[in-house]
Amino acid sequence: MHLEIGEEKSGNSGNIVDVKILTLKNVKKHFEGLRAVDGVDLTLNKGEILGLIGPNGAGKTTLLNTISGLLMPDDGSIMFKDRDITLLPAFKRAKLGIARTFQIAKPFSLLTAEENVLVGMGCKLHGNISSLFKNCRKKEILQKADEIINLIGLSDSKNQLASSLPIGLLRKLEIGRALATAPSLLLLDEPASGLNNQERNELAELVEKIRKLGISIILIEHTMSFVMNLSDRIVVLHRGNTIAEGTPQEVANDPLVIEVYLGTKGVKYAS
Amino acid sequence: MRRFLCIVMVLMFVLCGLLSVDAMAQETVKIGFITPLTGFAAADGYSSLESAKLAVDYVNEHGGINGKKLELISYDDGCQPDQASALTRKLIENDKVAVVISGSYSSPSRAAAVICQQAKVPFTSTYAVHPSIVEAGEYCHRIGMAAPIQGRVGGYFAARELGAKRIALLIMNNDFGVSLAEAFKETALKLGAEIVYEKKYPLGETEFRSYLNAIKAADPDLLYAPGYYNEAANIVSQAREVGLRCWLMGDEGYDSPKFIELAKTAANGVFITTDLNRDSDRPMTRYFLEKYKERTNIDADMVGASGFDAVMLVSHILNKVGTKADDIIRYWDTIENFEDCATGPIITFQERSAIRPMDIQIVLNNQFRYFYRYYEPEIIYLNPPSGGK
Amino acid sequence: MLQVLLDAIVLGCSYALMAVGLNMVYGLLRIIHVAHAALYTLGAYVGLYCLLNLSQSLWISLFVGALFSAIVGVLMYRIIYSPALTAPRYVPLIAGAGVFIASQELFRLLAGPYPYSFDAHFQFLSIMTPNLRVTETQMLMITFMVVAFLCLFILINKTNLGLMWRACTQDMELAASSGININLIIAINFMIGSALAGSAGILMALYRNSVFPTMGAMVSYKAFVVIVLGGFGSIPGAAIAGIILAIAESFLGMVPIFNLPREAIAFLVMILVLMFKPKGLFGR
Repeated sequence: MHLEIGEEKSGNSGNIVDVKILTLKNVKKHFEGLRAVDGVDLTLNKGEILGLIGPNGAGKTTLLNTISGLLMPDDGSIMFKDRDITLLPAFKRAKLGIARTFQIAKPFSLLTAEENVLVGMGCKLHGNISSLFKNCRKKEILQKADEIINLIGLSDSKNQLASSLPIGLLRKLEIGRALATAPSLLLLDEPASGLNNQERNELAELVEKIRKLGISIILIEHTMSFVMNLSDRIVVLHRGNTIAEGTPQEVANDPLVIEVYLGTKGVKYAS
Repeated sequence: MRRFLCIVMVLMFVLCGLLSVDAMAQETVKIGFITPLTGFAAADGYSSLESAKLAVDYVNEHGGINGKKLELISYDDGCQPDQASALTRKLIENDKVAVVISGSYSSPSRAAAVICQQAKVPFTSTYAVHPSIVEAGEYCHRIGMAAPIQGRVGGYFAARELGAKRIALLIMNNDFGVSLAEAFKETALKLGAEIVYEKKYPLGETEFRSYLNAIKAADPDLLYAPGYYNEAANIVSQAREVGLRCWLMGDEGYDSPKFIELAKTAANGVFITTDLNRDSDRPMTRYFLEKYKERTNIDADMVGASGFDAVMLVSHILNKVGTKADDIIRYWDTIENFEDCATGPIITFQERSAIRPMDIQIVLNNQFRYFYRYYEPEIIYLNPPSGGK
Repeated sequence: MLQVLLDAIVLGCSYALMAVGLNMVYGLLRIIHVAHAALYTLGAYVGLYCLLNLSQSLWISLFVGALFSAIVGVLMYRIIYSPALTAPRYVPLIAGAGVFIASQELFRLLAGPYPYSFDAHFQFLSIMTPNLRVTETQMLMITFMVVAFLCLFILINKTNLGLMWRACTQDMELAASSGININLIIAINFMIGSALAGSAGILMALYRNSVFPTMGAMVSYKAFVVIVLGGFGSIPGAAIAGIILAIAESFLGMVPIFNLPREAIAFLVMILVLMFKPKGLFGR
């Protein structure tokens, strides 16, 4: 079941369906003694936005990498839509419907914005070898790409090289490229970093739109207002372990979280 | 129990080893042979080794060395000087060979010569031409033609016999090509010819058209291109292709059936200096040419002939004086008119290099044919006996 | 003059065909594929075998030789490079050099140390005038190169595969996360590069009329000079630089006072490029 972009899913917009889309059990990833992720359990419901926060080095990005398949977990299991994907390589997970962006915005910098989206669309289009040798700029494909480009608001600069785009558009382009793979789970790794307030608000709107498409989202973010406002649920990681979980309010008031992570800033936020 | 069995087995192995070594040592006279069987020079190494084996078989069929079998111990030096030194040391120290023969190129031969000189073991190179090989000392000889002689013969033929006035040089940039070219140039200049073009090219080069176009523009009477057949085949066929119409002259490095195979009809008319006369009716030459073809299914070349000759000469000496190094060396320098070899008879050794009549061959109808032979002492001796060099 | 230029272009075609494969691999994996030259020799030997035993047709031997090289090229990646990719970059370099040396000895063991004549007869265009002469083989080489590069250009810029390939050369991780089967792309990359190397080997064997175990040695470092000159990873760079290098070699080789061998010219060019334009003429 793949969601077509631009097609509004009726009924459940904004609502979380009680269907587990992603289940992590006891996931571990160690780097020569450093326990980056040390036994994390996590579940994600369909249509949910899960905020993943924690201090630098807490293991957030590593956890995201194990979910997207760039890293293989040392232990534990990952279930995605009732399928064990623990040992699948990244590209197969992408085909199943897990898309991601990166902490440091990385588009295909020598391709145009449109081509970046086209690369993402290739994920679903090219099942067989023969399609590889077909024209990459067919009309119907370009139309679909345009829908995504419109959604992320990049229509004006779609023919620019990605390397020439400002950071705000780059962040959107990354999301667009990820959306092009028609995901059911989107992993966003600090999408708001480096953005000013206005860009950040636009991005928040975009994330809301994406959620309305029925796509579940895991969001790593340091900008507290951004993550607290968007997330349905927050998980706090510290030294590779989950130390708190709950609604944004619950987590913000959790004394342990305030102590290890939020610090004085957190106290301010809570008060 | 198990430990006891182990000990017994180890003991048996050791005993067997000792016995076999003793038994072999009593039966055979060993000569060592280093030659490149791997790397870029492997083809020459193969010719050389197969010919040496042919000679060993011949010697053993004709009574061996004073009743003992002649044994050839050969190693692959990959045409690397450091390998050659190490393997020569191994031949001398482990295998206790009476004589070391090098079937390799100039630089490895030079390295081996130095080791043999230090160990006072007689050494001979076969087809390596560089002058410095025999300069290692009195234990080192050369069976093939020294570059100064061969280059000089080429120079005489070009400038005197063919009467070339304008000469172009295209030289392979290694010991072989450069030392030949030097001797050739000296002789040709002395005989009044003019060098109108000179260029060095690296071993392994395949594209000569730009040089050849420049040579064509220089309009020479003759192109002398010392090198090996692989490169030479390209030079010759490309020379014909660009329309260079002058005499083409090469050296013993061309002397291989492969040269003609690769250059095809372009090889016709090319002169080479060599010492293997395929039209000779000397019984030993015929024996070598026929048996080599029988053994390897390939036509023999000059490299093989000199390997054959080295073993023949060494076994002749061993038969006469035994295996003591000093006796061998003393006898070696007195050799005169040695006929049991595939190349022209060895007249004598001068400065420890073989002196023999020199041949010019020409390629006709896709075959090497006898063309001219030099007997004149002032040409074929390293230092002509009359004195004036 | 025109003649020298033409001969140089033909020679440049062989450099370019070799360098493109090297650059395709470098662009994708950032490794120097030293064993690439082994596929050049392999193509020549397989082509020769075909010619002697299967069919008299040059076209069939060209096809079979290229196909064989392509398959072996992919195997080479799977067996040699793939496990070494996570290691420091000198590891695949040394592994490749080892494979290249071993391959020379393997060819020698299988086919013998002597050069073979590559005696194919075929019909093709040729130009023969008093001032200009382009032999059938030269014409074939130029045509092959032009067609090969046109195909490559279309493949890379117009097709889905090309888009995926370009994406992979820029960021392998990102490409994998976008659902691109990077193993497949790498395999196809090796296949195309190796097939080009194999056909270059056959064409050169035909041109030089010789096939021998160490025939790849000279082209291997010439191709390296070409990719330095053209810019690492740049395919048009490799094509143009191959021809530029051959032209430079040929014309400098004609100057009588400039008494340097051809290979010295190549390395002189490389040193100059590294000094003044380290990214190469077309590097990015």
